[in-house]
Formats: sequence, structure tokens, C-alpha cells
Amino acid sequence: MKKNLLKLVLRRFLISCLMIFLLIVAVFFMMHLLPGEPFQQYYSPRLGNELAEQIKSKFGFDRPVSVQLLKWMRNILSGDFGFSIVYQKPVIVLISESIIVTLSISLSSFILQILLTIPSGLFLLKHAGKKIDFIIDKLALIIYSAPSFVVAIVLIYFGSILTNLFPSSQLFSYNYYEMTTTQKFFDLMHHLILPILTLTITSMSFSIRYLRQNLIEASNQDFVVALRASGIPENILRKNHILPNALISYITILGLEIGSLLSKTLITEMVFSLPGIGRLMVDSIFSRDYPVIVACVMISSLMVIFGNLIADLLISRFNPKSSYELVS
Amino acid sequence: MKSKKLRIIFISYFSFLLFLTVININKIFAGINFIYLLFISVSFRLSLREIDFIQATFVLIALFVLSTIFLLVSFNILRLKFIERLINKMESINLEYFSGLILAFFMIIISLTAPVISDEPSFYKDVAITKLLPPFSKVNYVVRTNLKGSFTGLEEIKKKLFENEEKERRIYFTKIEFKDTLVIVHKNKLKETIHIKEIETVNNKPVIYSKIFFAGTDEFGRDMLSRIIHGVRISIFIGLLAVFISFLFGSVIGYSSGIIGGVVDVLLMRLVDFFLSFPILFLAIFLIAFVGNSIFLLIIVFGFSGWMYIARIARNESIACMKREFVQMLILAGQSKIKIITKHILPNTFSSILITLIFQMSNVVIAESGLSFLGLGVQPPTPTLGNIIKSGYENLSIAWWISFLSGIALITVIISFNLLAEGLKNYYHKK
Repeated sequence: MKKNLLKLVLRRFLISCLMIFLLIVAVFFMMHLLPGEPFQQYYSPRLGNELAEQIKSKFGFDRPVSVQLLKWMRNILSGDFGFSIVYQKPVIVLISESIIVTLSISLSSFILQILLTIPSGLFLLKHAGKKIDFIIDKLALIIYSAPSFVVAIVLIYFGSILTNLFPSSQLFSYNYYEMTTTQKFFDLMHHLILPILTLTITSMSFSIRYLRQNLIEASNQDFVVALRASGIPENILRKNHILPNALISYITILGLEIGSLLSKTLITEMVFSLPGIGRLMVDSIFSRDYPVIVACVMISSLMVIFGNLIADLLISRFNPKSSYELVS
Repeated sequence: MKSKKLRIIFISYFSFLLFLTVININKIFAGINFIYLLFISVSFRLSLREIDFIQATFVLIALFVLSTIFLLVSFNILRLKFIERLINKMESINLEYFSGLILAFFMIIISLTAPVISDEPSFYKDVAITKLLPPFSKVNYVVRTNLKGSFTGLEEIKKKLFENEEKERRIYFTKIEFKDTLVIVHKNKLKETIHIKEIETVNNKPVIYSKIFFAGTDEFGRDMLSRIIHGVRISIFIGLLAVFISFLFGSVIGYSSGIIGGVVDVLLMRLVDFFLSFPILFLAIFLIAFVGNSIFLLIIVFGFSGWMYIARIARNESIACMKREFVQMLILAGQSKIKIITKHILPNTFSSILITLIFQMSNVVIAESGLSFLGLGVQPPTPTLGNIIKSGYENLSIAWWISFLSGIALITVIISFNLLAEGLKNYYHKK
């Protein structure tokens, strides 16, 4: 069994490495095949041809493609994504600044989602077939169908414009730098409540329905019926037998969600104008800041590959039956 | 009990469709007249809007006929066996499937007939008066007499239908005064004096028309209802075409990797994994950042960002189908491979692909509206739901209806496809 698991881990890891390699190559060729050189903005067309050639050779554009590719790969693997044209800063600095914001929203909503979904799934199982179950299920379907920006707008309208409880945008207040540390913390929290709520509501609408379905499926399994017939109280049955079985598939979904931690906040960041990675990317698209765009796409895709790896490992850990299928 | 409920939904749905066609009956007649005149005239060069209009007229006529027949049958006045059988079949399927089917059908009908059932979502002349009106607000107007002289035949109908000639002559006002032969029109703080001969009159009194904006207006004084209808139209148009592209691409790759197997399978599946590692929205944004954006580019981008799911499903389903006994038996019996694929594997695996396609449709609508909301998708003069919600978001503190109503429309579009897919899934699962 353990050997099998090790084989799977190794295999998945190698495939992920291959994917990362392919990703880097694909992005490189995309930048070179598309019309307009990505680094054209460094030199004006009014400059003489010689000077342009000089600048080109400084960036290494006169060398053969294979050399350029190798250099590009070495740079990216060492975390050097180049220099932002607009912000005049190394891209890696920009990214690391914005990743903190993005991760702080998405991780906290991720944890909140887990904390809220499991009890509510149990609640729904307890009331399965009743009116409240039906209502919550359909409500979750409606919210699941709503794009995150619609949810965000509704939250802003009721939480910020009508009642004036929460700020509708920005990361901190205008007098942030004059505050003490605890005040700073509460100010940040105050600003982050609506974005975190948005993300939590949108992701919960999916996970609640998913967990509910799995719980109902698990509660109809033969062993549960047998245990129920043998007189074990429903309460214990739910906690000790149905929930762990239903959680297996929920955990694999969580693994996939880890992969989308960086990419799912894109629209939420734009709505609340938070300086996260999604906003950095959209802003740099409007200002044609190619190195930043490429770095953003790379990092969020790496995160997805990483998340898929974690999901596979979780599947093989909790559901050994399907790990055989993954290996074969 | 259940069937009774469904029958009520059915009847109300078709009576609503009938109502939709009846309130546009004058436009339909004008459309028929236009088509007839076009037919007998020599020139056949049609603009895109004219083609849209003709198609919408035909759809509305068909809708009129069909919904009357359906209503007659469901009230037991007329007896047509095949429609009764259809209704009975509808009643045997689950509620989610039924409501999703009806909603999706309704959305598609709205998007097909948008040029007839709504006004052109363009500017209204008086921004000062029609700007940011809440839903159900009523605005009065008088109409200037046609100074350019009357037109004849095709030209007149064309002017009436496509060039909004009458709308340009409208004068919206908040208050009106009459002084002998002069008419003083108040527009908030502005005043305009017009001679009575300049506007349409009956018995020497100006005719005052009124227009109700059912969904209010936006910050440029445009009618929100027609903008939302056109937005739904564009969203569904992009969604359908993108899903079609991803269906073609994905099913070819998925079936070939499932049926051929071996090295081809491994390679194609790694390709699928590779494309799956890009988040859809990021892939679309990445392409748009380099190539620029237009509606057709968006369709292609969304088409190529969704094929992986379909390929995966097609592969898994076809492999599972190949392992089943009857296919194995057919292979042993010496049936030709092409016949097995077309007659047994494709029909048996199509249901799950259809479900994925419908889910994909709602995904594309979400992604498209998200991109338009960011300002990266379809550009502003063209109304899409994402654009409208964005303009509503900018005016959220003074006009809630813009983003709320268009948001409800967007949710309805997405939910209709989600319900349909989920219902289909349950339907086939039970089978």
C-alpha cells in the first residue's frame, strides 16, 4: 500500500514538474509569436536603428531563440520575472507585495468556509426533506449561479451604502499611518470584512450543496442502514459514520480550491479595489506592462498545478481505492 | 398534485409568451409588410439589423401560432395527440429539469426576438430628463411634426422600424403650458417655446404621449429594459457559440483519445491537464492582453478555454462504454468499427456530454460577464450584462436599479442553464 502511495506521489510530482516546464515554454513562445515585441516600450521608434539594435542586444534579443529560452527559464526558476515598466520596480517585489493581500483574503475565506460548511451540512442532514432544507438548497443554487461581482455589489449596497457599516473599498482608511498597531489591525479587519464575506458566500454556495449531496448519499449506504437498524442513535451515527465518509470527497474539493486561491479573488479585488494580485494584473493589462502580466499568469498557474498535486495526494490518502486508478 | 402544479406553470408560461407576441403585434405586422415589400422590390441588400428584425419577426409569428396551439391543448379545447403526449412527458420529468428547460427556452426566445420586443438600446434625445429614472417612472412627451415630408412604401417602414425617425422627433418634458398658439415646454430648469404648428395636434391641442420606463434608465438616459434584453441576447450568443466551439474541439479530442487509446490517449490527456492548469479567466485575460478584444475573439477564447472538460468527459465515457458487454460482443461479432462508434458509442455517451455542455454554457456566461465587468470584454457602447452591471456599480449610491435588475437578469440566465443541467443529470441518473 505504502509503496503504491510513494509511486503515486513521485509520478504526480514528475508530471507537475513537466507541466511547469511546458508552461514556461508556452508563455515564452506566446510572448514571441504574438505581434509587437513585448519590450518595444523600452525604446522609442524615433531613435536611430543602431541605437535600437544596441538596446535589443542589451536585452539579448539578437541571440538565437534557444539561448533566449534557456535564459528565460533560468530567470523564472530563480524568481526573476524582470522589471516592471510602469512601476519601475522588480516584478518579484510587486508580486510579493500583492500576494500578501490576496492570500490574506482568500485564506481567511477558505478557513471560514470550512468552519461554516461542515456544521451547516450536518444541520441540513438533520433536517433532510424538510422545508428549511429545500429553502437553503435552492438559495445556495441561486447564490452559486450569481457571479461574485453581483454578490459583492449586493453586499456593498446593503452593508456600505444603505447602512454605512463597512467601507466599500480600499484596504485601509486615509489616516492609517497615524494609528497604533491594534488600531491598524482593526482598521484592516474592518475593510476586509466585505471582501472576505463575498468570497466565503460564493464558495460556500457550492460546497454546502456538494457536502449535502454526499451526506445524503452516505446516509443511504448499506452499513449506515445496518448500524441504524442495530439501534445506534442517529446523533452518533451522523457524527461518527456518515460525516467522515462524506468528508472524503469534500476534502478533495478543498484541495482543488487551494489551487484557485490566487485566481478566484480577481474580480472581488477589482470590485473592492484591493491591491491584490488580480488587480495588479488587470492594471498592468491596461498599461501594457507585459512582464507583470506574465508573472501574474505564471504564479497563479503554478498555484493551480500545486493545488492539483495536493488534491491528488489527498485523494490517495483518504480514498485509497481511487489511488489505484490514478496510478494505472 | 405535482402534475397539476406543472400544468399551471405550463399554462402561465405559454400565456405569457402569447402576451409577449400580442403586445408587439403592430411591430409584427410592420415586419410582415416590410418583408413583403422587400420581396417585391428589386434591391435585397440587407443590413445586419434588418436581418435580425426579419428573423425575430418569424420567430414571433411561430411563437404566436405554437403558444396558441399549446394553450388550446392544455385547456382541453383542442385535442392533438402528439402535444398531449409531450405535455405528459414533461410532467413525468423532475421539477428542476422542467423549470430549467422553460427558463432557458424563455431566455433564448428573448435573445432571438430582442430587435422586435425591445427598443434600440441607443441614446434617448433628452438626457436631462430621462437620466437615472427609477423603475416604473412615467415621462410625457409631445412629437414634432414630420418636416421632412412623408415617405412611401418600403422607405417609410424602414424609417419607422430601423432608423428611430419618430423617436428623434420626440420632445420629453416635465411640465407643459399653452399660450394661444405657443407651447412652452419645461425640461427641469430649461424652457423651450414651440409654435403649435410644429407639433402633432388633434383639434388644435397638442397630443401628449407618455412612456413608462419599466426598468428605469441609466446615467445616459437609456432605457434599461431594452438594454438588459439586448445584454441577455449578447451573453447567450457568445455562450452558445463558445460552447459550440468547445464541443467540436473537445469531443474530437476526447473521443479519439478514448477510442484509440494507448500513446495517443496519454499524450492528449496530458495536453488536457496542461490547459486545465490555467485558470479560465486568466487564460482569457492573457490572450486578450496580447491580441486585443472583440466579440468574435471573446467567443474563440472562451471556446478554447472550455474544451478540456468536454474532452475529459468524452474520453472517460467512451472508455467506459467500450468496456460494456454489448460493445465487446459487437466487436466479436465483426461489426465494423465506424458503425459501432456512430451507432452505439456516440448515442450512449452523449447525455453526459450534453450535461457538461450546458454547465459550460453557464460558466462561459459567468466568465464573459466577469470580463466585461472588468472592462476587458465587450466594450461599452454594446450592452452586455457585465457592462451594464459595471455602469450600475459606478452609480450604485444613486441608482440601485441598474446593477440590481441587470444582476437579476444575469442570475436568471445562469440559473436557467444550471437548473437544466442539474435536472438532466438527475433524469439520466434515475434512468
